[in-house]
Amino acid sequence: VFDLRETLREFDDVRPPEALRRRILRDAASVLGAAPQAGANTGWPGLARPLAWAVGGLAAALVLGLLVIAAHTRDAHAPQPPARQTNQSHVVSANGVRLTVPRGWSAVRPASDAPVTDPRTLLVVGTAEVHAQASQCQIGGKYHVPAEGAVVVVVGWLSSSAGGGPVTAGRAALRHLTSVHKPSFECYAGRGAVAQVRLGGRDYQVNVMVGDRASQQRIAQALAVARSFDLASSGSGKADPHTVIDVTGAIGGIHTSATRLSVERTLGSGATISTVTRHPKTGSYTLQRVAYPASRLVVLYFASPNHLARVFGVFTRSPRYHTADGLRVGSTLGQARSEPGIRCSQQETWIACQGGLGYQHPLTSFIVKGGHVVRVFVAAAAD
Amino acid sequence: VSWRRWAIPDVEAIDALYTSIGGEVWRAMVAASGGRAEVADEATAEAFKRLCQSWDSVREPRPWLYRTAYRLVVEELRRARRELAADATEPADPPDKGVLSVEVIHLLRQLPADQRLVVFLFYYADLPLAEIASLTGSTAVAARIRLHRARKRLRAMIEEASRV
Repeated sequence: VFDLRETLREFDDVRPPEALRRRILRDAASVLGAAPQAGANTGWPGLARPLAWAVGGLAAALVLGLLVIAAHTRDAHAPQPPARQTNQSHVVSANGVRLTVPRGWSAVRPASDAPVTDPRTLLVVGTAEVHAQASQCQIGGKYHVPAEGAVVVVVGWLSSSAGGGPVTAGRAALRHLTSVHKPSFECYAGRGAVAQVRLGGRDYQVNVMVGDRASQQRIAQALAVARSFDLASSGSGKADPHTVIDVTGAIGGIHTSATRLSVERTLGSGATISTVTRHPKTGSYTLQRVAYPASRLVVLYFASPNHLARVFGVFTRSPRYHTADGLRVGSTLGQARSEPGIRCSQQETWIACQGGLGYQHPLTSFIVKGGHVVRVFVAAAAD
Repeated sequence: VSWRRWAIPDVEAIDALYTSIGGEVWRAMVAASGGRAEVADEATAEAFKRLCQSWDSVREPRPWLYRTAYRLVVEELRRARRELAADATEPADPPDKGVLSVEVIHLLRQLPADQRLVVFLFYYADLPLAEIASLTGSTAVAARIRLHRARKRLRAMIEEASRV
C-alpha cells in the first residue's frame, strides 16, 4: 500500500498542458457566445417568465458583448505561456547570473553604467539588431530595440538593498512577468515589464523592453526569457538559500510549521492538488497538497478549525535543491550514505535515507530507487 | 469556487472552474486512461464543453465533470480497442505524450479503467470512499469492491514478478 502511494506520487509532477486551458476557454466562448440560453437561470426567479426571458435575453446580449470586449482585452494582457524550451534554447550567463534564451536571441554588449555605480548592468540579451547606445538614462534609452524585437536587461545591486522598497526573497516575483505595459521606463516610450528579486542575499532587477510592432509571440518569448532569470551555478560560490535542502527540516527555505501565508510570500500562490478532511475523535483536520510549479515544490498543509494552515511536509523531485554537500535528486545511493547526519535503510521496494531523526524533529527523507535519489521530502513530527 | 455565483454562464466562470478543478480532473483521467495524456486531454476538454452546454441542469460541477470525462475516457479506450481488433497491424498501445514513467504506466495498465480511477482517487488523491463513489457515479460499497479487486490484482502481479 505504501509503495503504491509512493509510486503514484509521480502524479505530483504531471500537469495539464496550457493548450488544454486555451482549448477549453475557446470552446466555452464558442458555446456560450453562439447559443446564449433562452430562459436560462438568470438569477431572478421571482419575475414572470416572459419578462424574465426578456431580461435574460438582454443580459445574455450584454454578457456576449462583454465577452467580445473581454476576449480582446485578454488577448493583450492575459498571461502568456512560457516560450517552449526547445533544443534550440540555450543559457547565456555573465557576472554570476543567467538567462535561458530561444533561438534568435543572443548576448548583447551592455551599455556603460557610468556615472551610476550601483546598480550595475550584469547581463543583456536581445533579438537581432539590439545594441547599446549612448544615453544618460538608467535602463530605457540605453538600448536600441527594433520595432519587432525585444531586449532583457538584468541589473544587480552591490549594496544590500535595491532602495526601491522591500524585495521579496526568491524567484516568485518573476512569475508576475506575464504582460507588458507602457510606459515602463524612463526614456523608453515602448512597452515593457520589470521584476525585482532577491537571490543569494542580493537584489536584482530584470527589465523587459519590446518594440512597437513586436508580435504576441515575441512578447511571450521576451517575458519567458525574463522569467528564466537565475543565479549562474558558477556565481559567487555561496549557495543560494532558496535551493538548499536543510536536513534539519527545510527545502528551499520552506520550513515545516511555516504558515501558508509566509510560504506563498516566497513561492507565489500555488495550485491545489488535493484536499482531504478527516474527522477522528481527537478533532477534525484538513490536509491540503499544493503544487508550486515554478519552484518545483509540493507543500502539504495541515489545518484544523482552531489553527491556520501550516506546512506539514515539503516534497520535490527537482535536482535544483541540494544539501550543503550537494546531495540532490539524481545523486547516487553512495553519495546519500556519505551525507553527514543521514542514515539509509531498506524499505519495501526503495531505500529511505533519512536525516533529522529524533523525537519531535522534522524528518528529511531522500527516496532512493534504482540506485539514485528520486524524491526528497521533509515532514513535521506528527504527535 | 463558488459555483452559484454565476447565474449566467460566461468564460470567466469556466476559467475559474478550470483553474480550481481542471488539473485534478485531468490528472484523474490520465490515471483512468492508463497514462494516455491525449485521451485525458480530449475527455477533459469535451467534458468542460458539455458542461457549458448543460450549464442549467448541472448542480455540482465537480462530480459531473469527473463522471462525464470518465465516460469519455472509457468510450475512447473501447473505440481504440475496436480499431485495434480491426487492424492487426496497429501497435498494441497508441503513442502517448509520456507524461508518466514506464513503471507507473505499467502498473496502471494492469487494471481495468474503473479500478485505475478508484486506485488513483484513493491512494493518490487521498479521498474517502464516499467521495470516490460520488465522483465515479457509484456507491461506496462498489468503490470498496473495486479497490479490493485492484489490490488483489496488483498483489498477484507483484508476486508473479517476484517469482520470475
